Amino acid sequence: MRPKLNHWFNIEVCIAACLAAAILIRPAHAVVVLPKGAKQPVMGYLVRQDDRTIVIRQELPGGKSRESSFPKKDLDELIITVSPERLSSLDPNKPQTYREYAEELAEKQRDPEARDTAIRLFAVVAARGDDQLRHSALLGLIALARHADEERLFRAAAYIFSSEHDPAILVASAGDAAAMDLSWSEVASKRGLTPLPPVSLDRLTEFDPATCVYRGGKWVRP
Amino acid sequence: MIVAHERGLTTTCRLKLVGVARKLGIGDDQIEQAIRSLAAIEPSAPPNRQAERFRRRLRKDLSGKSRTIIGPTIEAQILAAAHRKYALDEVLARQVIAEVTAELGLMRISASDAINSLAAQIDQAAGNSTWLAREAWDRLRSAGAKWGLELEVIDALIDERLAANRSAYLRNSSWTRATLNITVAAVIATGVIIAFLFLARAAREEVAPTSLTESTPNAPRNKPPAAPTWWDADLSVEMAHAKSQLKVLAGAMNLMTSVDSNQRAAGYEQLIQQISPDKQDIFRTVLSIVAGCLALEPDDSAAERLQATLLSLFPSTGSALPKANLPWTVAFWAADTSAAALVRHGAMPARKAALADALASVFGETIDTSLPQGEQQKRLRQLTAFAAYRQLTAAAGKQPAEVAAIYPALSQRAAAVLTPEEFLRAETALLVAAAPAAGSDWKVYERPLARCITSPDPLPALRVTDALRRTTDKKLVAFLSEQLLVRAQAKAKSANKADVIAAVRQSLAGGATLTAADRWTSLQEEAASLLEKPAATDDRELLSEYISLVHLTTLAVALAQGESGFASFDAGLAHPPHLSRPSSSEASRGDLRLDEVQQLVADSYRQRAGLLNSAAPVGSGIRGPEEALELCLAALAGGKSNDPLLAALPHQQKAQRFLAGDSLRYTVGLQRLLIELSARRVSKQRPERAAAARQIAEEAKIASASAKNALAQLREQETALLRLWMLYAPEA
Repeated sequence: MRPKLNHWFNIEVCIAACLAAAILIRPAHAVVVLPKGAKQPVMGYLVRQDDRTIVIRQELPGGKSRESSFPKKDLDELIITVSPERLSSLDPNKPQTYREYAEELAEKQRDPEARDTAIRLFAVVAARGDDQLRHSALLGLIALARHADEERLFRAAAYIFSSEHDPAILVASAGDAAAMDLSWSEVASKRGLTPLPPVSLDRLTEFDPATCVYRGGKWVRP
Repeated sequence: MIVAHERGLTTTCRLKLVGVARKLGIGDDQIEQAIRSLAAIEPSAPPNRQAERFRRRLRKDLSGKSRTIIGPTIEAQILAAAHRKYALDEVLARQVIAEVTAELGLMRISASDAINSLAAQIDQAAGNSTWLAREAWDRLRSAGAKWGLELEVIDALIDERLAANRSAYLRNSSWTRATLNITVAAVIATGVIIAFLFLARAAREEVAPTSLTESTPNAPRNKPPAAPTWWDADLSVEMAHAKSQLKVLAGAMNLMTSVDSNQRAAGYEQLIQQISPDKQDIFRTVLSIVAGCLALEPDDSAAERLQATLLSLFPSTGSALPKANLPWTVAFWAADTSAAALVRHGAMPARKAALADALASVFGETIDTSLPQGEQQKRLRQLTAFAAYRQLTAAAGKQPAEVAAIYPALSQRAAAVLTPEEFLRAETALLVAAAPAAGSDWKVYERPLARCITSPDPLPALRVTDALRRTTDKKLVAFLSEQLLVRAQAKAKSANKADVIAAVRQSLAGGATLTAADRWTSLQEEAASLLEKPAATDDRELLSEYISLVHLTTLAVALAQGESGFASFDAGLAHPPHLSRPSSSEASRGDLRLDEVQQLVADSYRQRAGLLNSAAPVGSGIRGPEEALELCLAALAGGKSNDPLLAALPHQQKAQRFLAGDSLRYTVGLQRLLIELSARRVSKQRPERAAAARQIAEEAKIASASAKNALAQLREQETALLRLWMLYAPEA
């Protein structure tokens, strides 16, 4: 049975809609703007900008979003945190480019996306770089640690994987020293039973350093 | 009277009778008839004492010489000796020789047999040639002399064959010339006709279709392959015999005479494929041929293929079990053949060494190439029996019915080749594995089990207690319990298996000398259930498993120390640690009793440190598990300071301590380092198990990384440590 004419029309419309969506929906840049006189920065995604204004989409609780327009002359600072173009240009054979961009992003660590991307890039450098780059990346990770256990892991890795084994890296708090004398039941009640993470350059973070090439908005293996 | 005096109608008797008859004027035809009638009614002669003495002497001289061939020369010498020492006439002596050689299974070749065999060999060597190379001629003379033929006779046979070839060649040449002439004439005539037709067509300016006929190429002459020059006289004789007598081997034989080493190798493989229990008539011939070819084959790769095919006939764990019909015949034939190849004269030393190495690899035992053939054959038969027992033991769990079906044949053969002690040991190991898995087939093992249990040595009975522990068949449990209690002269508290085993062990172990292998077996059985089951999901159960694993690992470390660790092992095996029963309030609170666990594993780790630090006794000041594990690490790290792993160890330890932050997690971190060092130690001391050690260490990393909490990590990593230290156990 031959399909009816309006059926073909529907198919064509769907294909056209998909193509339009593919063209129009592009990864938005994460931005941080600091309006003059404001105490808190505004973090969101860049919708559009021209010489005079900038439009930002802010994510709101409950999954909603709101677009806000700011005149550029009223802004103290405009930071485009993570650039997909920069990520796409990174070359796995040149790990130093990853470190350089990670350090740039680390300066914008108030933006979670910038910090996560910096952590990812440092993890790639730690796994792929030479001794000097690795040490530098591990120190960069320590500064970006998101919680105390993670900082402890990064410090342990920086100590083990450095040829100098600098004991100053292993900075323990007074509470840590006391915890070594706790019985196991006291440990369980005060610190819980969370597993001891492995100290491995491949598993330092939640990011797999083997996927170090940014293509089409995704991290893939080279 | 003459017949009685001569003890029967012997040749001498016949001569005397003929002499008397002729004196009486009786005609020859009547004499012959009378003697024939006398032969028909002749009573059975009483045994001839001299003949019996001769028979005994001959039997004594020839027994044990299974490869001896009684040729015409040897037979003539024996006949002369029989006449000289026992005054036996030729007919009677020849009859005794025939009977004794048949009885001993020796090959006896008459002069006509020898001539026939040599003629076959000459045919093969000469083929259609009209001349024979000097080496081939000498080889044939040597072979003929071995058969007991005079050199003149041999030369005459060769000349006769070559003369026949020359005549055939001349005949063929005449025919060839005639055929050639006719062919040339036919070609010329055909050419003339074609030319005529062509001219005729050209004249008519017409093109007629022509038909082409393919000329059938002449079939190549079926020239019998000449014997390879590297064959020696013995091999040539065996090959000629095989080719003339054993048609089933013809295909393989043809390939084996090829100049192409690949074809020869294919021939060897075909030849050995013919070996099967229902073709035992070819065993002896193929044995000689294979041994000869293994020793003399000039191409190493062909020899390797032959060797590999031969060695594939030996039983090995994991390979398919032999069929129930005469299951081990082929394997023992391979043992005899290998023994023959190792002592084969003319073999290259490197070839013998390669075969010995390959056999050592198959059997896991070194092979002494200097042993004489009889001893070598016995040794290889013993090793084959052991390999067969290992194969059955390995298959007992998966193929219990097949194992039960072929076990009796092995037991029968093994009893003949092993010493009583070896036989008992091999039987016990198999029975302990096979009987509990046999189900209703256990009756096959009833008598052997009784034999093991009633042995004066208490060790087999102690081993059978392990079988009793794993047995579920009620009848087998009852049988084993009864037999063991009688043997141990013990009385159990109840009919319960555990009580029976305890009573038997209590009674027998005091006087028994347990070997390291027995202790490893006990440990493997204790550990098997724990290693096979997945980790518990409940934390309390997880801790219980962790304690058991720690204890078993310490026992394995004790056994790995050799005799110095036996006392610790025996004491530890008898007293495994257990968590005390929780009170009702503790149980209701869900208390994990972590402090008790900490204390129990600290004790076990401390003991382990003591075993590893035999030179430096472990002080009682050690408090927690982590301190004892640090001592274990220090003991295992003793070695080359330039080893990167050892050089990094103090830093690793420091980093783990920092990362852990508390004694519980630090124990997890130290376990990780202990796994690394244990795997390294196994790899160095047991290189054949290095791959297994590396795999265990890698699997432990993965399991620990995905563990839900620190308790699960302790359990997983202790499992890895136990598996690593169990690699020191001798192979079953």
